[in-house]
Amino acid sequence: MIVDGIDLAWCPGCGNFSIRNIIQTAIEELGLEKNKVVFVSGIGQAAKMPQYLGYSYFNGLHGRAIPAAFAIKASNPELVVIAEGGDGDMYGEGGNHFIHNIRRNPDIVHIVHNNMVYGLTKGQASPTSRSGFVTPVQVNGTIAEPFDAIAAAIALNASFAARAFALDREKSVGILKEAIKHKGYSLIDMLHTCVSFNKVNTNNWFKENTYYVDKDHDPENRSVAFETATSGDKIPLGIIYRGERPVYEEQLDIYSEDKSPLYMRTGNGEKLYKKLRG
Amino acid sequence: MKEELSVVLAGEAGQGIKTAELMMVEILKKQKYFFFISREYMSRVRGGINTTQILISDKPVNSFSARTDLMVALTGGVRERYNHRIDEDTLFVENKDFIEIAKKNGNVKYANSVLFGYLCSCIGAPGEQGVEIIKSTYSDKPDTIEGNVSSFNEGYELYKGERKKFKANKEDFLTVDVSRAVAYGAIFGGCDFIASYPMSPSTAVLTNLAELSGEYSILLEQAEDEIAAINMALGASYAGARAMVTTSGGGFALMSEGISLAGGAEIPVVVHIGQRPGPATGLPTRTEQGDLNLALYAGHGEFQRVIYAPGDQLQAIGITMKAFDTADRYQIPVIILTDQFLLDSVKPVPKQSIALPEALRHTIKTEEGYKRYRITEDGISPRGIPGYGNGTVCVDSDEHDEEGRITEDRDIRKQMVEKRNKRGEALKAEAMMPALIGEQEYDTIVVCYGSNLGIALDLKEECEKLDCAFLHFSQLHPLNDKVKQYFEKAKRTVIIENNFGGQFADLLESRFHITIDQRILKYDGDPFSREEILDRLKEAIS
Repeated sequence: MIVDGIDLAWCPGCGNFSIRNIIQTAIEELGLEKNKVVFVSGIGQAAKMPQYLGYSYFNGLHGRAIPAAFAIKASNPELVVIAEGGDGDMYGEGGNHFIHNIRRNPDIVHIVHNNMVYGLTKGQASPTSRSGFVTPVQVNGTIAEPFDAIAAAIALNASFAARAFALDREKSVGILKEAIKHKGYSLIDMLHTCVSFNKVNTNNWFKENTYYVDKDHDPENRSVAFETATSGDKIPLGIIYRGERPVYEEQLDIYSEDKSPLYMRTGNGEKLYKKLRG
Repeated sequence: MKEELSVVLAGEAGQGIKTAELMMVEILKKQKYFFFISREYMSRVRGGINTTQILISDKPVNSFSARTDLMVALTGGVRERYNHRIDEDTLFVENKDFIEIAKKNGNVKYANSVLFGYLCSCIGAPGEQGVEIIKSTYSDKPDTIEGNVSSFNEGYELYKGERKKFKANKEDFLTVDVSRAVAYGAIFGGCDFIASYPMSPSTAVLTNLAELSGEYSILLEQAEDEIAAINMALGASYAGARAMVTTSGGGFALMSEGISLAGGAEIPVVVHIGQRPGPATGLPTRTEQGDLNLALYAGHGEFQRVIYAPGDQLQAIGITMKAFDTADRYQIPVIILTDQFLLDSVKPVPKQSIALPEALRHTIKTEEGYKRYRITEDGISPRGIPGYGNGTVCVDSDEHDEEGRITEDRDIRKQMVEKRNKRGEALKAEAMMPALIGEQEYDTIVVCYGSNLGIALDLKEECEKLDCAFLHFSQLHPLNDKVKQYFEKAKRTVIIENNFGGQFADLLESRFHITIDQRILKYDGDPFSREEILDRLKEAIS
């Protein structure tokens, strides 16, 4: 599909179009400088997003966007770093990095497109597929429990954990803006539909099975947040948890005096040379 | 080689050999002796038997020797396990006397000082110098100094043999192991980012850089696994850092896909592989040169890389520094192959041989419309950094066009494959030539690489008598076309490799259409001794 002169590889009606619009709007509304934004992605239909936005990007390996995003931010804290990919990419292949990156708490945004199915490999179960979901591989239905990224993130003390629904444009823009503004790691589990391979979790299904946390929800109370994430039949949407934690790159010794990003530094070879030669 | 003294300390892990060795290094430095230390140890935290060999000589000494003049056994079972390194001339000493003296002076832990006194006496070092070292070693435990000093003095008197004196080294030198030298080389190369997962025997490079990270501004992260480590290094490099990882064969195997990404997306990265015997977990703390093929072929698809194999401290400093420049200039992964024996070896390095580093950055400030993969004559596109200039910097693991945007266009695909591989010719042309160690005229050329440099240096004269010359490679890939001349001149070609198959021999044979006549191989986890090489070389050419 040609959009804004670009040949987009997504199916007509794909939730990714709405997510693209949400991201563009949020970045514009926040007035971020174009050359200070870097997208980092893995592989999959969601991970193609950076190709269609007009910012710098590092489109790396399947599952490995997070380590690269972490290091880009650590090497240049002036950049706004957004890691983006699908549920298989980020929660499956990249599951270990998902855990340990939360422990580090770098100031990056992590957008995970969650449509509960694999798209680019054509319709297998994803880590977030509901139990019983039938696919050409899981022919008798998925046995495993779906991975609840928000509950996992709160358990790991992620500093920001939110869930959005791609078709609620306005609310999602608001959540993304909060995530970008938040100091520290911010997860957005972005629910959306896959019109080609997921005929179960449709737009209507999401409408019936999700709800927004109300104004009384205290996102700063971790126990309440965890309870909200894990209880009830419906999937909660909104900022579920938000806490303050020291940010990784702000604790680095290399920036304690010299704030300049690594690319501006010329190394310390000469200093060592003088020391060794005595 | 009788002007050389070979001392072997054998003890359990955690028994204090390391402390004795460190104190020995201090006294050898004070005496300005030439020496070479190598270590072998079991993969355990406590117990077992580990040994340290200290060779002391009138002239530079660079390799492991199977000969032992003095063996100090701090635990049982040493004679049995190291029978092959003991002969009728070996003075075999057990530590019960040391322990008795230590106890008499108040603490069994003083046994190390008794041993140190004994060794100082053996190498003809003045006792006062030894006492100074004892005092500084135990300066954080002032109440033990008196006991340690009296133990030292009694140990000094305990040795009744010949007090051997050696000629002093006139130059100023620093004493480091090769792990430290790799770390120095990295700093010389401008390294400011390292991410790694600990794995023997490569971890010491990480700990050395950690120790130096404050003073030399290095961002260091212990990754959750090797896959994360290489992807962190690539992210950092994309953002303009000079990045490296350190690992061993198993960890590097996990990094393979990342190496391919570095090749495809043209992201500079330096990888240090401290080799140990495989396959799988193998012998975690022992030595081998078994991962050349892994380094050579790791990563799917076709792209260029460079593999270096430094042979000692000085080469480790110079080549690691060079690795950063090569990676940056050619936008490729560069691999440095070392091994456990080399990393754990210590010798004095003349200070004036250390060259002034010049770490140049081969990156540009971008402008609007910047294309990361612009087609150029030599295949190398000017490399921009995100946030530096007005352009956007788009790198892609998918096949991409000049802007870094995903494509399946056949013509662009072809252009990009050619672009990525064109630099291979330049890399070949500027590849480091091997060093000929011996006379220009020879019948037999003896090829070795990496850690076997020391053997070549120490056997040079004896091999000249056999009309042999050594050819030591510190770059294994790509190989300069001019290398062939060495083989054309030789009547016979022999190779020395610490592995089962002769991986470098296979590479040379296919690269230069030659035949390696004899392969001297070793794969029991130990390094070659120079005596073993001499025997097997004589056999090979007879």
